[in-house]
Amino acid sequence: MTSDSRWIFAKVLGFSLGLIFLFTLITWLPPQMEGEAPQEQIIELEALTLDEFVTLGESLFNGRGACALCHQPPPAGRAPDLRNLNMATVAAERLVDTNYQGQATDTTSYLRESMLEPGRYVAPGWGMVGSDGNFTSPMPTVDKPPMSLTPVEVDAIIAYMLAKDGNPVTVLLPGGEVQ
Amino acid sequence: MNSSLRVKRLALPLLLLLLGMVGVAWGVDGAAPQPLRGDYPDIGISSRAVVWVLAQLHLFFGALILAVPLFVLVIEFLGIVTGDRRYDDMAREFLKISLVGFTLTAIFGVILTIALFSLYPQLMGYLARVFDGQWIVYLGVFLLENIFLYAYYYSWNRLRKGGQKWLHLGLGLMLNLSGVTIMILANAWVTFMMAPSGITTDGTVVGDIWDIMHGPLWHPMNLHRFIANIAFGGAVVGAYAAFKFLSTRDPKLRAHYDWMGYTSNFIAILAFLPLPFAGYWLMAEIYAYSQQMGITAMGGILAWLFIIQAVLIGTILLAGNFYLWSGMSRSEGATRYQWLIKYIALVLVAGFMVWVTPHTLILTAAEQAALGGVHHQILGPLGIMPAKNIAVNLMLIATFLSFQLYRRADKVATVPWAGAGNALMTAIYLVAIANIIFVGVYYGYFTNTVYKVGSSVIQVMSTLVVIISGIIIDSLMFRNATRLPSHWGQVSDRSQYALFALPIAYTWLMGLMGYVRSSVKTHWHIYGVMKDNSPDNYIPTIGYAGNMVTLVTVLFLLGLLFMFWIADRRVKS
Repeated sequence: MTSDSRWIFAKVLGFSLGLIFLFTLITWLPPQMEGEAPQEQIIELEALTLDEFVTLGESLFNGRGACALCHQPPPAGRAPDLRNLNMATVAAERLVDTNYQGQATDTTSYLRESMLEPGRYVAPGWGMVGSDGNFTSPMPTVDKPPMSLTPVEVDAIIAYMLAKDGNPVTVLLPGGEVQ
Repeated sequence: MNSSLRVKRLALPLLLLLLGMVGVAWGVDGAAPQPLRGDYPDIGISSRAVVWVLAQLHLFFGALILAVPLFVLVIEFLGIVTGDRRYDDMAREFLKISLVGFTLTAIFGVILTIALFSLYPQLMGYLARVFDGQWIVYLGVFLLENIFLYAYYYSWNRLRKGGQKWLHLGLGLMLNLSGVTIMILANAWVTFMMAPSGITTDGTVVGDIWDIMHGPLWHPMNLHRFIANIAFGGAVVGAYAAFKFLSTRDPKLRAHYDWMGYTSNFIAILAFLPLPFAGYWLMAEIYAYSQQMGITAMGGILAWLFIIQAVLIGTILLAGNFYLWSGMSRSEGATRYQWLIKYIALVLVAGFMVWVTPHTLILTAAEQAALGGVHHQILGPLGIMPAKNIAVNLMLIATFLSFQLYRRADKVATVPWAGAGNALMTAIYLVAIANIIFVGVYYGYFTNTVYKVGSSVIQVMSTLVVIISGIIIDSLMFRNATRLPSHWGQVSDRSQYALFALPIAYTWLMGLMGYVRSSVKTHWHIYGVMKDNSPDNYIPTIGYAGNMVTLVTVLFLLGLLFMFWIADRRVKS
């Protein structure tokens, strides 16, 4: 290698490494967040108070249930912004909607049905076109993987949905107590 | 001890270990194993980091040796059709560069396999069971690829003349077919982990091997990687040509390497233009498979990463365009189009600025209070996908315009309808641009999600119409065109640095997107079926990922230098 070639080599290497380190630097500018795997929690269900049950529902809504990924305000939301809707009012409207094909009779059963059989009713403007040309619900079933919520966890989310707007919580507490 | 003897002594126990692990895995049937934290070997450092580095190096070299033979085949074919010996020589030189890459790919592949089976034995055992004897097919095809490679390379001179040339081309075709087969087999393993098919929810196999391979993400991944590999391969050999160009003062050699660099960049940019659309298809399929997975990538913890991606793609487009503009100095006819360059640059810079605008701003508490939130009133709307879709489509159209002007620079159309052809081309550009902006703004901001997603398809089609009609119109309009003088080798040294920026940005981008692809599985080895309970079952920060990508890129760069050094010695000998 001649001295000319060596100098060119050094310049090219310097340019390449400089660019690489510039890219690296940029990755340190945005907020640094880690995506923690959901932690296994041991909760004494029998001893849960209503407030604790609602809090559990809220943490599931924002965490392992992954509800908040889609149910958030526009323009980022990809589903109705549930945290800013009164679910008792919404459920009452849906149950009398002619497009409603489910079997729910009240707010609690409507919310449970929406999580376990989301295709029963597609909220206007939020469906996706299925293979048959009709709108289908893009929402996954929450008791199947990857969420795999248990019936108690589904009830906790219902409790949170109702309690956040001051509606009476009508689901059974895991201890069997009726509110 | 003799080194080859040492390798043989090490190889046997390793092979036995590997076969033992696979054997144990095959002996178990039924559901996927659910390893606990204690079931993962502790080697003192992060197992994920080890596999990350090895897998990425294997992929980089694998991508290179998949792509280079592909365009070697096309260039050799061009040489036969045009009768221009320069094509044939260049094709052989390209292949010569990539030869060591095959060895490096195999070495990293073997080390990666050992690392995977040692560090994640339950996962690899389960995958080996699900994919049954497919790894034997994989090894068989790999062996075939090597046979075809050496037959193709060493028979180049012997089969150069007459009908034998077609036989040689056939060998090249077989080499490429085996290379692509290897890629799609490996993709089946990766996409199975993201979107499993052919199994029950507990991981019990119920389908045949086709059901297992044929998951919803397999074809989009195959297409995306195939195109990306070509762009990547073109960029890497372009850097080789650029270095050779800078290292010599001999006008003949400079002309040769200038032409080689131009051809490589031509391949890289042409393959790059449809790449975002293949990526779009992959992402749409991810959303269709699991909204949660899609949102984790685009709107969740990984969302910031797409701002980094914008910086990288912006670098690629700016470098690619800069090289084309500089290259126009080779042709005396280029002055006709130079006035347009500033407008193209304006579109590129404006598009780049929109693309890097984040939806959520990084603010102090005081700034946030003053702004009334984390979304800026004016910049906020530019942070969401509709704005970025407009930006990226306009940037691609601008790049195609640079490309088209460059191609036209040394020609004068002689067909009588040249004026009408130009008018038609201009109209297509204007209508497409208007359509992209209108559809993006109207459906993106004034309708709901259903139409928002659908509108991007219209935008993609508009861009594709420009590209396809541009190629058709130019190929008809410049048939028998008058050629203006072109001087290969008369290009600025500065332009060659664009050819170094391209492979660096491509390599870094591939590393970054690999991190996204793997991270969208979150805490699952196999999404929804087999949980990752290892100490590394969390998504690392973007900064950490950036460090890892840099480490792998620098290691790859060293590998490339070694590869080029060997190729150079071969050329000299």
